[in-house]
Amino acid sequence: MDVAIVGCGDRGAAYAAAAHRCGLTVSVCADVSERRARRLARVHNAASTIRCNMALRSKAVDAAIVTTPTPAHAEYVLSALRAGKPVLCEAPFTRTTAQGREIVGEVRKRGVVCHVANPSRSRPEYEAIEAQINAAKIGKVGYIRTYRAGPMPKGAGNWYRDYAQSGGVTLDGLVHDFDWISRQFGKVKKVFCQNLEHGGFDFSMVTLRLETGAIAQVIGSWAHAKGSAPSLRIELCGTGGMVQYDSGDVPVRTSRRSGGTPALGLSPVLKSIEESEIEQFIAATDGVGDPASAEDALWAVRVAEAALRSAKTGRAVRP
Amino acid sequence: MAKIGIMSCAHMHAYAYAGCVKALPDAELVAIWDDDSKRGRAAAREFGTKFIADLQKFLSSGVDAVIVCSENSKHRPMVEAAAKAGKWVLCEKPLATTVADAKAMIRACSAAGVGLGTAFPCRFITPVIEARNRLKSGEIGRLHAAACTNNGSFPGGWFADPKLSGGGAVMDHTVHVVDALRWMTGKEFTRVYCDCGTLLHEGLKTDDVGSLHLEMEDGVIVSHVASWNRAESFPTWGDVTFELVGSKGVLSVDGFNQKIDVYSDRVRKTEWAFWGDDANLAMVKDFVDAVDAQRPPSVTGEDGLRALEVTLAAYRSAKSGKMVAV
Repeated sequence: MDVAIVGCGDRGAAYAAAAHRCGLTVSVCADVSERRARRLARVHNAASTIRCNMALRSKAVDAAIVTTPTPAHAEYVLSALRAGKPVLCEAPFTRTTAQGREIVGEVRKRGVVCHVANPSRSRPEYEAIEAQINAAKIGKVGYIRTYRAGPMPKGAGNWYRDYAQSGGVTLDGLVHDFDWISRQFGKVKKVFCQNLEHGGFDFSMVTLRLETGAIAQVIGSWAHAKGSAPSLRIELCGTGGMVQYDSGDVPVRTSRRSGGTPALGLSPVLKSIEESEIEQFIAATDGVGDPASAEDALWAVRVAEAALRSAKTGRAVRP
Repeated sequence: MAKIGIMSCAHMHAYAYAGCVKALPDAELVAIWDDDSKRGRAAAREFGTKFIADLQKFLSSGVDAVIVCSENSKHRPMVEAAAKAGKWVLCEKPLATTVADAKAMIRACSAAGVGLGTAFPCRFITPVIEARNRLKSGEIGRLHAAACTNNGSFPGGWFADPKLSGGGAVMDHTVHVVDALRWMTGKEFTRVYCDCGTLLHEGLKTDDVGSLHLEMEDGVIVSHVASWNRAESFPTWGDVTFELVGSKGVLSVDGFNQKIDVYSDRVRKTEWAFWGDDANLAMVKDFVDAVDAQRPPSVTGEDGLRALEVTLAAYRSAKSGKMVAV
């Protein structure tokens, strides 16, 4: 399968490398910045272009991986779907539910796969948590707290800092938790959110009331020190026990006397997130994947939008 | 030498405070009174003091001051009786279950010219004091937000009887954090939103999980978890945590994270053995010093009332589904 990478920043580079390891051929690297497109194309001996939509229609492309800033996802995902090409889209799925709905409509109409990446579907730590729940180790879960923290990510032109584009940590970070919690514990009935959306940092605190009655508190920080590794903590409490997870509790650590940037705060496993996502994507294109992926991703964006609305109005919002 | 009496051992903190009084060289545990005479007698035996079944006899037995550890809704009559008898009072939290009761208690103590304190040991946790100092030093700049938790295991008994407790986990585990934040920041709470429910203990008549969103003066936003969510197999009783987000950085506080991990084949459960300073001891010492100096305790009845007002507003919010003014 020949894939086009649309969006050749850090995420695009990570997906391109994983695609290669998964036996796919990166045939085109597309980016609105010629420099970025060329740089990644050189690594993969691929063609480069600044005409992203045209690249998606090219005969040399069988599938697309969309890793642009969030607001541009919809345009390229729709382009790919309309050209009949399956798409892997980095999370967050879209910036708005309107964009997400249009994509889901297109997926339904054309029956083309749109797989939305989400670590909670591919990381073994989430599998381990789910296994404990399924084995009835902690009873019925009534309380969930997730906490993810790190510095504000860097992106081309500082786009994360523009909350109209990124949705801040409430959308960009917490959408992963909204997706996981909704799938694992039940649909969200009510959302309340407080956030900062300050110039150089963001902090968001969300309460979700689920249809089961369960309460989830979802905290996200883009207020931590520059260069610090992002971390994730999860706590579940049930009628018969608890589960706690802390991504900061890693088995391998480096301490550089000269300082420098620490690696991503992830535990090493044989398969990277991106490889797992691409494997799931390939399986889905072979008809054995999870066809609800875009719908679930849309729901998570809907919850994030509800959270942002709640933060503005000071009211609880139904997503 | 301050002569201290304990009124009711319904709240388990009575036993911790009794131990503190015994440990302080300037204080003496002279008597215990309890409306449950069996419980009171057993406690008196345990702490080597006398049990006095009659309230008036207890109050005229030479005690200078009392620590009230009854069920929440019984605080008022006991505090009023002690105040009338001219005794300094340290009252377990929450100060009361209604604003009217809390105000009446404050009035009674003020009229009698006795000091009234609310038992908020969080102000005496050394790491919390350290955090307050760092916040005040400007280490994280201007405070914008705080994400807090006060989780605990289910205390059982009267805590789950709303007539005696006034509420569940939200009543039990909101006031500490509210008071600590007021103390750390010098700001008051203005509005609160609360979602709560009975989610972890079947058949309970009160909430056992609450998620709160609060606003303080100057636009500081705060989230809080008040819960009885700790499993019986969890290594400790619970926690008090604060993550403070400022213009220059983040200050994270885990109040009781001074422990060693213990794996005992005899106990067959991982336990955390705490080695930090004893906040209860520091709080009781402050009370004893207050009695000696005839000054109000550091954490006053008004502080207890402020924290109660926020908690009651949280329950109003949970009922209406809206953010409400404190």
